[in-house]
Amino acid sequence: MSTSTAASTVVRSLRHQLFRQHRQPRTSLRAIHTSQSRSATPDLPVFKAPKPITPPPPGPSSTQSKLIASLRDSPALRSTTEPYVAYGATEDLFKVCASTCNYTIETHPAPKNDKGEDVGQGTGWWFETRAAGGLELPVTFNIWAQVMFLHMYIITTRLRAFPKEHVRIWEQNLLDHFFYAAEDRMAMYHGMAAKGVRNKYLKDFWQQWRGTLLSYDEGLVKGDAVLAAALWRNIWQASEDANIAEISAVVAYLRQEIARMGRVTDAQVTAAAVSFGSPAEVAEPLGDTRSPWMAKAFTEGILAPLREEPKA
Amino acid sequence: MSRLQITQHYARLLTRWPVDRIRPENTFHKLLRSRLAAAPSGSKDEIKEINAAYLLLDDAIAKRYPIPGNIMKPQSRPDHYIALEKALEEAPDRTWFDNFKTRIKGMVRMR
Repeated sequence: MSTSTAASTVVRSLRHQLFRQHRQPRTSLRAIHTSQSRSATPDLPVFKAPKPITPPPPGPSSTQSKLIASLRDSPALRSTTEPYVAYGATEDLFKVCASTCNYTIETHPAPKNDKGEDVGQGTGWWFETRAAGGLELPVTFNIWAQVMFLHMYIITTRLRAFPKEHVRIWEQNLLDHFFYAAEDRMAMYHGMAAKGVRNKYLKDFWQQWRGTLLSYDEGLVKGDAVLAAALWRNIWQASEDANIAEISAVVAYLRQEIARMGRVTDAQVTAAAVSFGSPAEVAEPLGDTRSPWMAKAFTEGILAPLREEPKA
Repeated sequence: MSRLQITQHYARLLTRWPVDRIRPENTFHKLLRSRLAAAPSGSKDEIKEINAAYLLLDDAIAKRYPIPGNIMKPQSRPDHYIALEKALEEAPDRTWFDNFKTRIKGMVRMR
């Protein structure tokens, strides 16, 4: 990417970010904590719409902007400005991830499943019933986090293709946005008012993220079977009721999205002009392809596992 | 397809599925073994699942959707996946002291 296009992207993103901050009032986490109980009508502060701001003045002259751009591109100043650009852009990238699935919990305390996890009402292909064409995964916090990890992983593989000095900041900011969303969810839906409890789960999620990264990278390198096993461990929580055809649909979705991401330019990623395809279209990834192994005869060695004693 | 044939398919899948040395307590073989022993249940489409498993073993999806070069050899670190594969191969054989050395080395990063 040439210096001038990088600089103009940086300037454009910064301006866009400043404009957006003034345009949308954000409800803060503090507002949720100030109410005494959820059943009483909460005394939330009323947000007045801010006065419309005039558009920012036109940029500086070209020689001045070139000088600023060259200063900003220097290694010393990059560390001061890049995190802000990355914060804004990765927020939009994370919103794209979050749009793929969502859940809410209407009643408090939340209904629980056999493992003691809170269960909610989910939207998106991952939580929809099989009758509606979805995967019908359990609508829990952990599964939501794993679906987020999957989409963040697709973006991370693309972020690795940035120049070396930029990668770490962008990866870190994308992960930070997941942590903000996870913490919001814990406070809003799962009744975790104590920051200490939330921090404990967030640290656990960091470990899970590192493990997820490793296992999906291993799957990309070693092939479909390893990738399917990784997805089974993470998204299906190593359940023996998992449907192998559904796992292979998610393998196809993951590979297809990574291939699609490879064709997106750096400028599109930094502007968060990316989107994920529809998983429902990949539900029958290989149509009615029949593997030749279905018809092959069985040899004696194959039947050895049948005679093994089951391991304790 | 008869119950015997389905069981034989699962047995063949068990012998062909790659071994995971890093997570020995939580392998995909666990799922395949549970299918070996399980009674047939009407809700499952066993043939579809077995077919999907064979296609996964044949890397059919990887061949259909190949990963482009700019992802597999990323500009920031072209040997990322190669080094990862090597480290994954060596990981199960590392002794406690090797792990300790790796952890200490990871604390110091040269620019």
